[in-house]
Amino acid sequence: MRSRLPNRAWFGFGIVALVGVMAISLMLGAFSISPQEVIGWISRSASGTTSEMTDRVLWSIRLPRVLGAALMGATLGSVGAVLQGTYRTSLADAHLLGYSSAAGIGAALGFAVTPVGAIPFVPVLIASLTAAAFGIGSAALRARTGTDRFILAGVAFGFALLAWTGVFVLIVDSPRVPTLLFFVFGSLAGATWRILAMTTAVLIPALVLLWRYSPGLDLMALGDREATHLGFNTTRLVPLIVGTVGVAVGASVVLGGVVGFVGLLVPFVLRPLIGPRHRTLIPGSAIVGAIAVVVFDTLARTLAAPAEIPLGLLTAAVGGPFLAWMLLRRNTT
Amino acid sequence: MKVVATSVSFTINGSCLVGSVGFEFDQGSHVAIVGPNGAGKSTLLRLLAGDLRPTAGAITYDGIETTRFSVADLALKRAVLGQHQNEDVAFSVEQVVAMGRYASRRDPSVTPTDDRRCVEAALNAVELGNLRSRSVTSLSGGECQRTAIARVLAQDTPLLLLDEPTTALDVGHQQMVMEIIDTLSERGRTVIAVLHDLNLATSFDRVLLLSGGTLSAHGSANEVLTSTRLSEVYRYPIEVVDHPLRPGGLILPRPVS
Repeated sequence: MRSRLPNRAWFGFGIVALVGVMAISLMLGAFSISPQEVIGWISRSASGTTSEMTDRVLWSIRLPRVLGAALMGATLGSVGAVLQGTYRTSLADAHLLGYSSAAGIGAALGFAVTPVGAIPFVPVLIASLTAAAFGIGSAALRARTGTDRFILAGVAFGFALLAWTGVFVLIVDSPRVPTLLFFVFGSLAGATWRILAMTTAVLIPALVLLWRYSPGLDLMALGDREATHLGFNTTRLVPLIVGTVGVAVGASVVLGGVVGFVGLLVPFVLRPLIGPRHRTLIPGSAIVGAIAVVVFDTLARTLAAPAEIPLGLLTAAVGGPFLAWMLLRRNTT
Repeated sequence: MKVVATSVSFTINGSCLVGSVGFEFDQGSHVAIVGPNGAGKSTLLRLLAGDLRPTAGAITYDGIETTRFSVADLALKRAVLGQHQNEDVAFSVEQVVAMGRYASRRDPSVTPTDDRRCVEAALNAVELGNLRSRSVTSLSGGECQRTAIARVLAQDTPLLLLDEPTTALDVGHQQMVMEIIDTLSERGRTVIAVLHDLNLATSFDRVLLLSGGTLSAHGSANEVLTSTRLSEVYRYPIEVVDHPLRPGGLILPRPVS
């Protein structure tokens, strides 16, 4: 059995790294800010005076965006770990299985009826409901198919839902609804305090709830029937777990659109390092997912500054080849 | 735990897999279920485990119907060893055995010390103490089977349902499993095992012989495992010969001439 110390060391290192990349991310962008200015801003914020340009960029644009990136990354990493545990395959992920596309169409509908700048209550609600319904529905069909066909069906559904989202976005053609690009390759450019507050209120409880199912998710590795024999009611709890995953994915899509590969690759890379137990794998994937999205989002807004590269383009550019390598190299189940 | 089946049947898509089977097992009995392929042995075990609902009749644990227990309560009453073990996630042997303790977390009287003691005892019983840190993905077939047996033992339930517990085990470890079963019933645990090896069944105090989903014979090993009956049920000439060290004799198919 792995001793506790190395895992604690990993976690300590992960949290320090996350705080580090968030601090660096705050300084970088179309408008660059020096470390002294960031420190100065923190001390001024403490004393309640904010007036300079730097302060405004940091407070109203960059800070919510960096926090949003961390929150979104934590969500993608966690739900990836949960779905991989539930479906006993390292190929499961909210994006691949179609949850993100289901959330996308719900978010598009919700945005269409929400005034620009308002708290995105309706988009989060509809996106979470459609993704949860999709997750619960697909879990019910899972029993009939093998893992490979289940994943391919998820990909197929994902394409169809994305196509319908595209048709809807183009027909509605409203400034309230983000562009189609947001639903394909995501972006945190629109992250404001209001959106962040609304999505945090949904995501934190959802992720804590999923984490609480860790011991049961461990049992799923032995098989559905064995997990049931050990006292984990898969018939009742799997729909609850994938429903909660759907709710989390819904909120994350409202926050930053559809971003792939983070949820797939983070738990996969982490499992050999910190072990397969979900009690550590879920928070570990949250931390590493957060680091990954903060880093990618920083690159997204600096590589072609002042233009923005969609976040999901970068994660796909790096993640796609990685996934291909993993499929061809490893005998995944 | 006392286990009673009252004319239990299980029919699916018009075919009757188990037909009107009845028996009573007292606390501490150890029972072998034998019979040819497709006789309904595994189905009967799944009915006993509460996985399947009988389409007619009822199974009770200490007088309470299995269908009235929740999934979590069932896990405190009975442990199940399945025929097939999944070992594709890199948990350690000890972590898998500790999964047997999942249900008892709900019992406030169970302490972490109890959990550790159960896991330790289970690992030692199947001689896996030295492999505790190994990933189950790297185990041999027999080691996997012993890990699964240890997980079932760690569950520490009054009833154990074992589907072919000696699968993939060498002769020495097969005897180890038989000794574990003996010890369990001495401690008042009820053990019901599906077996293919008729010679292992001779050491059980009750034997159920199934054929075509119905109970062909039921009683002590000497009563049930007779040459005439076995030859008829297995549709192959089978002989039971006396052996100085084996009270139940030695059961052998007649050699192909």
